[in-house]
Amino acid sequence: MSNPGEEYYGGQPPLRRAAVTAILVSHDGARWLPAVLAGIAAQSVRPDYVLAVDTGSKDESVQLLSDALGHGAVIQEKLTTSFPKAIRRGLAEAPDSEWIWILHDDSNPEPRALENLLSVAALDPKADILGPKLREWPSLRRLLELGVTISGTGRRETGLERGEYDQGQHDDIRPVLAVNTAGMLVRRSVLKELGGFDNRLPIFGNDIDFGWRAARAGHKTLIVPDAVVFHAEAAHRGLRKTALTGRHTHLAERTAALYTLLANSTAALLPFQLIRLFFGSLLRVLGFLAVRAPGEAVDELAAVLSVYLKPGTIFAARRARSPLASNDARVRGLLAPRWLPYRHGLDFVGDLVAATTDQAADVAERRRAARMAERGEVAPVHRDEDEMAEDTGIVVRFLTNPVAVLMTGFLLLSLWLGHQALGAAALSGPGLSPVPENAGDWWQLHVQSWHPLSQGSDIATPPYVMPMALLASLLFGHPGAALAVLLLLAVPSATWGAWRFMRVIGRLADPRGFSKVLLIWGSITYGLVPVVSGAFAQGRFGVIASAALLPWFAHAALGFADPTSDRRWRAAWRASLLLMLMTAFTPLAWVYALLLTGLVLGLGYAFARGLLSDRSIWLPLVTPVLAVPVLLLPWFLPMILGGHPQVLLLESGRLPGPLAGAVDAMSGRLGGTAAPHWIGLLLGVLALIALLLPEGRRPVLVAWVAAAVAAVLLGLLSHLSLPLAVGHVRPGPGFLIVVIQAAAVAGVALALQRMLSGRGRIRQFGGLAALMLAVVVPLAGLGWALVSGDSDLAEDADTGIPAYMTQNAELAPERGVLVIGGTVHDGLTWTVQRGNGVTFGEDEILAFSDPDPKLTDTVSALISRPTPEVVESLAAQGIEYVVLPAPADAQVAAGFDATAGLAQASAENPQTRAWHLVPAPTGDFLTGHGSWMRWVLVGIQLGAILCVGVLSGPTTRREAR
Amino acid sequence: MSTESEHNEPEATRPEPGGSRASNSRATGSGRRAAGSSKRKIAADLPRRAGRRTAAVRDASPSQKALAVTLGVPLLTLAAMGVTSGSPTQPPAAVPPETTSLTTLQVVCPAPIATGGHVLLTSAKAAKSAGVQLRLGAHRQTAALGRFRTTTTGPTTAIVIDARGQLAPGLVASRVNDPQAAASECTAPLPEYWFTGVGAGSIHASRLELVNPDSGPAIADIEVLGGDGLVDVPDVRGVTVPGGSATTIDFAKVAPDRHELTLHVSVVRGRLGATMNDLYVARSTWHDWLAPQPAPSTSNVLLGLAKGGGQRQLVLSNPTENEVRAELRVIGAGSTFVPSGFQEISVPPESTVVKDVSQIVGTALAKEESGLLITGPDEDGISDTPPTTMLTASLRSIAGEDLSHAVAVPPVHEAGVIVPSGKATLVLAATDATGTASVTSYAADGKQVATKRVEIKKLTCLAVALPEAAKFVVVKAEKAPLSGAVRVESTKGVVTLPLTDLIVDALVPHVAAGSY
Repeated sequence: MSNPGEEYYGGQPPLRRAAVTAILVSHDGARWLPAVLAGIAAQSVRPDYVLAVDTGSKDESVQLLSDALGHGAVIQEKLTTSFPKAIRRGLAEAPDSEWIWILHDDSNPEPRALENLLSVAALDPKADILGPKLREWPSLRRLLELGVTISGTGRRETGLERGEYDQGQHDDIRPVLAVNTAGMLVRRSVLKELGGFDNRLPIFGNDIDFGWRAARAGHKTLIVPDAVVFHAEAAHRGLRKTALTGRHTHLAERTAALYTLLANSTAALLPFQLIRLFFGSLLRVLGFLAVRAPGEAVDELAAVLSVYLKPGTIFAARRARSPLASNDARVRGLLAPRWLPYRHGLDFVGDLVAATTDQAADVAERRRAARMAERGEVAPVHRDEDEMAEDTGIVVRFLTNPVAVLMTGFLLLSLWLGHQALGAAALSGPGLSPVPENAGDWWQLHVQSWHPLSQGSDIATPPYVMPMALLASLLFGHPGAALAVLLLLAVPSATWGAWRFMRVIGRLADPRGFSKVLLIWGSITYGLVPVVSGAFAQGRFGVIASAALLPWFAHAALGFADPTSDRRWRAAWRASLLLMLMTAFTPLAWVYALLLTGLVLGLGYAFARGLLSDRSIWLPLVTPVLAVPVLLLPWFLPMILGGHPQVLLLESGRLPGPLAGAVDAMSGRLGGTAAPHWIGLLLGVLALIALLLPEGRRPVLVAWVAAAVAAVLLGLLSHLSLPLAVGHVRPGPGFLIVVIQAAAVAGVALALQRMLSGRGRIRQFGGLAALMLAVVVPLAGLGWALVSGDSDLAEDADTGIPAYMTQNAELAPERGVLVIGGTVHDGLTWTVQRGNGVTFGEDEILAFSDPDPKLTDTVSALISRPTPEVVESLAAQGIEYVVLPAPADAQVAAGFDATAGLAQASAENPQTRAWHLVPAPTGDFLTGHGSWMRWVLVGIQLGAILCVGVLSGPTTRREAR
Repeated sequence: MSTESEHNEPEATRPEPGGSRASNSRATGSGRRAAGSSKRKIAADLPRRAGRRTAAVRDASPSQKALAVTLGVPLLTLAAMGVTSGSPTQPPAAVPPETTSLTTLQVVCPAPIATGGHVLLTSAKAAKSAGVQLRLGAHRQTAALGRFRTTTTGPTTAIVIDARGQLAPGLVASRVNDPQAAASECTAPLPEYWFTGVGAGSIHASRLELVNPDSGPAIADIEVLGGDGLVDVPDVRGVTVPGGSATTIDFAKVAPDRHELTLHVSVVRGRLGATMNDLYVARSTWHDWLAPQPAPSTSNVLLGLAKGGGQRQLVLSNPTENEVRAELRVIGAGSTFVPSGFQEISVPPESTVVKDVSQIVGTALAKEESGLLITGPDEDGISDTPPTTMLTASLRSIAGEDLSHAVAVPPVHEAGVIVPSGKATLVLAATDATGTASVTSYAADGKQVATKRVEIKKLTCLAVALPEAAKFVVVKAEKAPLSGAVRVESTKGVVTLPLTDLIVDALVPHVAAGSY
């Protein structure tokens, strides 16, 4: 038997050393084996004996091993032989030696690896397990592992950054929990004592488990950085698929991690660990879904199920480990710190956010790069001044950057402008009903198919309730906080979105992009639209929300022009989500998007038919308008099928919506309380001039076309009278006015950029003059908002109904308050208030609910010929109080006073009259109508939102690698 | 589409183009320069072109076309914005109430002044004869009611006459005092009552009687208009009258005042009947009821004035917050004129003024039947005036050895009045337009004793003598509403009863669901 170890031993002076047997485990490793074998042969201190265990390799591994080590040193095992078995098999065959050096077929030791390991072992006689520094193969420089440990969530922790280069920064010999089996030098006695590696861990995780058990048994594991082994991590990376790893390496790794944790944790920690790992795994499933890694999500789920459904395995393992001491303090010191998983989570979320917000940052650049690549040029690396990392403190960098200071100042100012929103819990106005008590009310409104409003209604809940409910739930269940956030962050969001959008269109129009001045001007001017239009003052939250979302949507929509199909699709999904949100708040957004998409397709058909022949171009384009009905299915479907298509044109919130005339449309005002018209008209005039400039007209024209579609729609709709269940209303102009304003801002900015950057003194002077005029627009708007501060919003607005009745009505749905308004001479109208009155989200439901004719008859009878039977019938229709709000009609009041069964009730306002019905109210008709259909629709909606959310997310690094 | 993209997808990743086939599939329809260019390049190029859709517009057309687009788009935009309408939708139209036959009617009669006296009741419309209930609290009695037939009953307290079903329309009742000539019509509960010329002193003292016909409590707020603005009388703010009971307020006790007062009784809860029992001490002690005016008016007509020599005091009140300069005119049999030497009467805001008009009225009545017309300035009694010149008016006469009141009540369309015994004269006046009226008198047994058709010229008044047997008179104004009163002279004194409309119909308001 020729053995390299023997040969070597003979030629070396007697360094007092123990015998070492190297066991090399191989499986289909022909790719690496030559190098590995050469590495072993080149060891400065060679192992006494080298034994190879091959587990059913199909390539020439066995041949390579036999050639290098001799036939007798190669043990051939079955394909299904696990790593622990292979080691055990090797041990059985190995000659008696103090140390066992384990190597993988893809781990290549540096020449001095064994020598260094042994010398450390010699220095520290208590060291039982020693591991080398693992570096990446084939890069050779990057660190892979310097000992490993496991975190509370089962993550393999190396303590290294991803792809960290080895610059000697970790070169301390230190005790660790475990070392990788690749290059592990372990006392044979320890291996024997611990029963080798756990058979339950065929490939992954057996090293950690072994290390953990060793630690419990009081053995010392050391990392020896001077010993270097290059490791290809073939199995981990899925380069090597075996029957043992299967196709799902992630599944195997997670199963191993869960097993290791549950088998080794202390008995006291076990219940906690069981719960934590279970829910933690479910969370990871969601996380993997969110980053479009469904395979890993399935693996994760399969892993947790496979471990948890076989509790016997865990208990058997724990029994097997029970003879070991717990050595708790020692082990805990070696385990990963408890906070580590949370830091990883935070890093992950941070990465995700950065990737999401950055994805389409530069359609313009990618297009330019694509164009240059086409011409064979090399695209220059773009460096934005913003992104330049200077070697100064963040505070200094902030304070010396006038843009940052200015924008921060504006955003602070905008928060101050919205300070009224802090009272949002009780706020109401012309377009805003007060919010309900808690987020649960909104969720209930969203999922229930039959609303106990008025005399009961099956009208679909308006779509904005769902996002508001979600927001409120995130804000600890406070709807008031959700509304406050919506109102407060509208201006900052609109400003930020406008900044991002304009940065891209600026670069699309001109490689240099907009100058900072124009970016500031444009984003602030647009950011003020929700305020100066009067949307804020009137509480038109739909307009506010869509104004805040519009630039983000437009930014996403720019992605349709991306050179790559993948990015176009992601742009489509992102645009779908944003359009869904906008549509939820102003349904007209969808109608407008539909028209615009139609126009674009029409123009494409007329002038660039070739584009339409590529499905990856036109399909993303039409995706948003097609996706929105699905994303808003629980509202869209019932409203359209139920014969209420007019809801698509309606302003959200309390009706009637705002009324904008010709001057309002031109100056971007909703009508009613708003900033002075001249400010808006100035912007309009500038936009008109922008179009008349001879150069750079095309991008301005695009903005004008977008405005033209909105204007035509606005002009037509303003003459429509939409029939609702009771009366007529006009379509809401809010969204279209916002669009026109956005287009005007973009158009002016584009033209100004061209003028300011153009040649010729006259042109530049003109540009400067125009800029001066343009700056007046946001300044005057801001001034108006700060100085006048006109607002129609009020806290705790008087409903005309005594407060005690409202409190009483909140107790049960049937305790309704019948409110009768009007006069005998002009006609009387009734409404029914249930619960705490009409709250945010219920306006549309009531507006579309057909009034109950039975109650009309009962009220009529109560007024004209009241009998006790009429009063009883009223009580049976869920009425407990009757109120005539001030000024009460004297004749009706006198009639009610004379009616048996109606007892006078008090009211704060002497002009208000109220009666209590003596018979107890009943209201079975208000409840009990459930519908599985609603749940199906809501389920489809949630599924669709999740899918689109995942599809619109950034590509994960894993895929990118 | 799908077949094409199927072989597009794999090709897009190939470094070399798929050859002529791919180029052909591209070229179809677009005629682009696709031949020979790589697929990768196309993929990069296409969306860029998509982003410059308008560029395509210009590329494809000469500068004229571009100019047309450049001008057309803003013109279209501006035009569309120009026609944008900011007008709201039509608000729902007011729907007037429907008129239906009355099915229930309660009228409230005051308590007798002293002992004695009767309540007389009849009906102008009742379709059958039957008993009606007279009640107050626990007191219950029934009385027969027939069409035109006058029934006399003798309750000694205030009473509510409760007519139901077919008996309800056209119910008329009066409280008549026997020892002295005094009478009061029994009124259906009104939301408001104005009593002009209320006394709260020793010579002139008035007592307000409030009767609640329903079972629940009723509350009245009483405003007192004195000689110098509103008088604060805490005791009469929020007077509660329990169900089925009567309350009397003596103004000499709660608000002693030598000046004449005007009371504005507003019923804020429930229903109340209100009557004013007036006491005047001069050469003798006289009692009579002061009839209420349902609302201030711009045009106040006082008719049925007591004849003979005596003292006549015109009491005016101005409930508005501005001073009103009232104009007094005499409506004679032939014309209406301003009495010579008479100045406008200035009525301060929220105040009551008393004007002695003995001379004017005495002179006019001596000549012919006359009435008084009191209007605000620039008010001819015809056209509508803004409500800033609203007034209430009454004339207190101590003439014919008795106290009597003439109160301004609104013109009537069809009125019925029970005539106390004595020489009765119906006085009619037309203020708005010339009108005609049919006057029909019925005896106590319901037999018609006389009927007459008269014409009253605009701004004149007319006296119609009623037959002695007449117990119930129905006046039907045929062209225009008329003001009227019945004056009854007897040995006991004078009674003036204003004509008020019969209550026949109920207004059924239109009821609809309201918007939230």
